[in-house]
Amino acid sequence: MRYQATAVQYLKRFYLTNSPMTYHPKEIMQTAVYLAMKAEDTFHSVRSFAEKLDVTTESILASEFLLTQGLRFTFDVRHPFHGLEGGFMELLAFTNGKGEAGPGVKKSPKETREEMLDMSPPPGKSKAKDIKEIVIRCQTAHGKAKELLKTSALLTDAYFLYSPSQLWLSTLLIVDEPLARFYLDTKLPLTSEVKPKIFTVLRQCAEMLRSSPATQPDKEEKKELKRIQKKLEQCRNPQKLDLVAINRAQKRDPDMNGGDGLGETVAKRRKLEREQSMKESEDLFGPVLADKKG
Amino acid sequence: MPIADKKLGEGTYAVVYLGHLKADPKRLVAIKKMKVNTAEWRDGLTMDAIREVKYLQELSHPNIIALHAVFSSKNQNLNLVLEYLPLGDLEMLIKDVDGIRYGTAEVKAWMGMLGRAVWFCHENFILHRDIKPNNLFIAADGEVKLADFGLARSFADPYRIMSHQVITRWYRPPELLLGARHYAGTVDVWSMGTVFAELILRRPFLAGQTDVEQLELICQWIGTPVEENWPGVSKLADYIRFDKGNIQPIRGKEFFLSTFGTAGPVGVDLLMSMLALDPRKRSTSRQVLEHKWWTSEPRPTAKEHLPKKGGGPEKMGEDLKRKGGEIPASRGDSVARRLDFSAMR
Repeated sequence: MRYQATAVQYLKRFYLTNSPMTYHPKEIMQTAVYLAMKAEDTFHSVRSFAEKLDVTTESILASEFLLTQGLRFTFDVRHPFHGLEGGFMELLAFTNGKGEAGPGVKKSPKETREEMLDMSPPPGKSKAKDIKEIVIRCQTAHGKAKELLKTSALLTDAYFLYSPSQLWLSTLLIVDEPLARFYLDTKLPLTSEVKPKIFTVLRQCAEMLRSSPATQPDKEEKKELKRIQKKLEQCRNPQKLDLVAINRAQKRDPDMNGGDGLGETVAKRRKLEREQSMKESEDLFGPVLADKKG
Repeated sequence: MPIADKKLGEGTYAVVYLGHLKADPKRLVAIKKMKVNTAEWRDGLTMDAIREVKYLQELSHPNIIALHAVFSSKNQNLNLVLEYLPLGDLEMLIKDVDGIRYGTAEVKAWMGMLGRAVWFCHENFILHRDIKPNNLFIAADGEVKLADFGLARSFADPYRIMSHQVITRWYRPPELLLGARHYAGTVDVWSMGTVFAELILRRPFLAGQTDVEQLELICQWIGTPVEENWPGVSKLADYIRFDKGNIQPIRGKEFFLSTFGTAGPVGVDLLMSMLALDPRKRSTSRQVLEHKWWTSEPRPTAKEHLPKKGGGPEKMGEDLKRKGGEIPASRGDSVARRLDFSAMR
């Protein structure tokens, strides 16, 4: 799961500074997944990876460096998943009567357990009869929150705007608000001034997550996608159409100046000019002075 | 903007240059140019390069080599602009038995710097996985800096397996030799312990020529891992049933004091806690820093008074170009292949 999430963020970060009219997302996407697998310690050889996608290895590696540059060499992506797991382990510890409240919160594990039993139920449900029901409630919330982090959090700009802990706490707020409130109450004293501020941010984040597009496009959206694709075909930067060829040219002639695959002849011409000028400089009166016109 | 001046070293995996800043020529940097598409690697950017950039970019600590910038050159090479550390590495100091003398206060200073670096990595959920004396560089002011993050990784998600083929053999903990796929920061603590021992002995402590020999050495010097002293050890993938008559119980404090006496009883206590067989009983990097050895006599030497050898820039080039997990060819030849333990039983 981790590397998929990283790959999505790579793609989003890359297009902060690059246009899809220059580099086609379909090509960058494959490379983003491959690079993310390497960065998240899920290495597979490029051959087996390309085989699965039924593309050439070259098409994956051609844009790897480009993507790396587009990311400004920042491979690390901070995810909310670790925080989510930790938070739910804490919640389950509270149900066992083993959870310790945060500093400044004067509650014994027993009191927190009582409080948990007394928690108001999620909308449309009746109040919990015993602790078992609370455990189930936590597990359900955990599953739902995780699902949101895998979809909405990745498909919106949330990663750019909110920290990992804000992300997972706001998913908890969406799936089970009383539980989220209870959790924060175990961390901060009731009188804490930052609490309202935290909730404001969490609500904004939750709002963004709710606005996420669906994972599968519906009929209308598909139609729109087709139209965009058609338009993209016509207005793509023709110099960057064939990344594989550009990459090959760059590898063949590492010292050339242009990055667009056309630089080879330019470099050759300059080299000739340089040699010519060197030869002439050995003449008695030096080389020909530069023409005023040129 | 850094400018490369001269080549310091070239290996199969990287070329290292000495450079300076264009704005301020007095400020020197080392530029490590990662090679792509070598003969044995056809998968684009190497894992080592990605790891090194990924982790060094996130870590900023006085005892961890600083990554000033990353830039790309035209033929698609990744260039790392690293802090310039001209005085070689700890291994050189350890090896120069005739030229350099040092005592417990110096060892304490170096171990303290290493301990803080490792703790900082762990605090940021990063395992270094290749701690050894020649990855510990010495800055111009004597500060020790942890380098080479080519084998590093973040702590794994729960239940995800990790490779056990990490850490240079002499510094590899028993759980990795036995094939553990789930491990924690304590693998780095074991390496720290072996570095500690090496600093005192002035030769590699457990220098096995093969993985099997390495395990034998651990059995002889620390103790044989069995269910009694390490619950669950026999379930590890590569666990070998040790010969019943040949089991060495875990060595006591007396034994360690006889070998590492110069560290003093409190120092030996710390060493033993770092070299505990069972990773669950081993100190964490935080517990290492909380040990009372640091506050007991003697005080650690101030870094400006630490012995310096001056390995020179070439040594840094030599160290940086190497791939992780390798033992330099010249080492080990000088170490007795097998030590005679018969007298110690």
